[in-house]
Amino acid sequence: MKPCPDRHETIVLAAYGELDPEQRRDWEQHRTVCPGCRDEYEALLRLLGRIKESIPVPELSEKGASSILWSVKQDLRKERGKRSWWKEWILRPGRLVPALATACLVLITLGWFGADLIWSPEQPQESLGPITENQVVLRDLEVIKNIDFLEELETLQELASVLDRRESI
Amino acid sequence: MNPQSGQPINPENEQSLSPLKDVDLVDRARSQDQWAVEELVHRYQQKAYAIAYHFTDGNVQDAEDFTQEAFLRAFQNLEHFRGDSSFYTWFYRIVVNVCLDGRRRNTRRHKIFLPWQSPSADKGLPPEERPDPEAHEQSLKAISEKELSKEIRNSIKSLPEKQRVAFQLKAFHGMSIHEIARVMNTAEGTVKSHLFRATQVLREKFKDWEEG
Repeated sequence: MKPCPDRHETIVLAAYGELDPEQRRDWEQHRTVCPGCRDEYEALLRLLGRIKESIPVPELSEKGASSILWSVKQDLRKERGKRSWWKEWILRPGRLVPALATACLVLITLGWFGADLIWSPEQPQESLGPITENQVVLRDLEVIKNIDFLEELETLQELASVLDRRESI
Repeated sequence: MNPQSGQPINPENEQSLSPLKDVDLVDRARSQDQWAVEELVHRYQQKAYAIAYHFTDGNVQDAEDFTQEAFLRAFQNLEHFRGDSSFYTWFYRIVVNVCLDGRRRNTRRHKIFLPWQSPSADKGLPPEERPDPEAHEQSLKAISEKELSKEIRNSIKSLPEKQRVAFQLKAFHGMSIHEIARVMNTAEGTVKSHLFRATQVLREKFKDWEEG
C-alpha cells in the first residue's frame, strides 16, 4: 500500500523527530488509521538506522588527539610570534587607555617645563662659541683704530647741518 | 536534536569535564589562556573528527588534518565570534567549511595531476572497495551486508553537496534542523528541503533492499 501523497514530508520529518507538538499529534492520529503511511514511516526508520550503522565512526585515537592538540598549540604559538611584541602588549585588554593617558601626561609635562629651558632669552648668549667671541673683539679693535677718522666725520656732519639751517633761514 | 533521545547534540552537555561554559572558555582563549584552548580542543575534537571523517569518506588522515585545520581557523578567528549563536554551531560551521574546501582542493589536485582518470564517484576508493558494475546491476535484495554498506556510502557520496551536508549532519550527527541551518548559514526551510530530497533519493534507491 502506498503512502498518502500529501504526507511525504511529514513522514520524513517524523522519522527525523522534527515535527512540532501539534504536527506530531496530527501525525500520530493519521498513523493509526493509514497503513500505507505507517509502513512507509517504519521502512524509512529502518533505512536510516541501516545507513547510520553502515558508516561507523572510529574513536579518535589517543595519539591522534594529542597530535591535533600539539599541532594546534604549536601553530598558535607561531602565529602569535609573528605579531610584534608592542602590538601584543598594547592590544591586551585594559592596557590601551592607560598607555595613551601616560603618553599624554609625559607630553604635557615636557611641554610645560621643557619650553622654558629650551627657549629662555639667556640661552643664545650663554651658548656663544669661541669663534663668535673672537669676531666681536676684532670688530671693536677696528673701531678703536679708526677713531680719529670717525671723529672728523662727525665734525663734518655737524658743519653740514649748521649750513643747512642757515640756508633754510 | 537527537531523534532517539530528543536531546540537542551539544558536547558541552555531553562530555564536559570542566564546569566552565563554552562562553567562559572562549573568553579565556581570547586572552591566550592555554588551558582554555586545551579544554575547548578536548571538548570538541571527537565530534569535529566524526564530522570530518564522514566528509572525507572515511579517510582517517584527512579527517585528522581537517580537524586540526578547523581548530586553528577557529582560534585565529575567535575575535569574530560574537556569541549570537552557540560556540559549537559556530565551530561546526568552520569544520564543515574546512572539509568542503579540503575536498574541493583534493578534487582540483586530482584533476591536475591525474587528468587521465575519469571523474567518477568512486575515484577516492581503493580498488577492493569500488562497486562491482555487475553487482550494481543486480537487485539490492541479493547483495551482502558489506556490499550494502558500500552501496550506501556511494549513494551518499553522489548526492549534491548541500543535500549531502544536511543529510550527514542530521543522520550521522543528530543535529536539529535549526542547528544545521546555523551551521550551513541558511534558512531552516532550505535545510528541510535539502533533507527531504536527499532522503527521497536514498529511499528510492534502497526500496528493493527494504522490500527484500
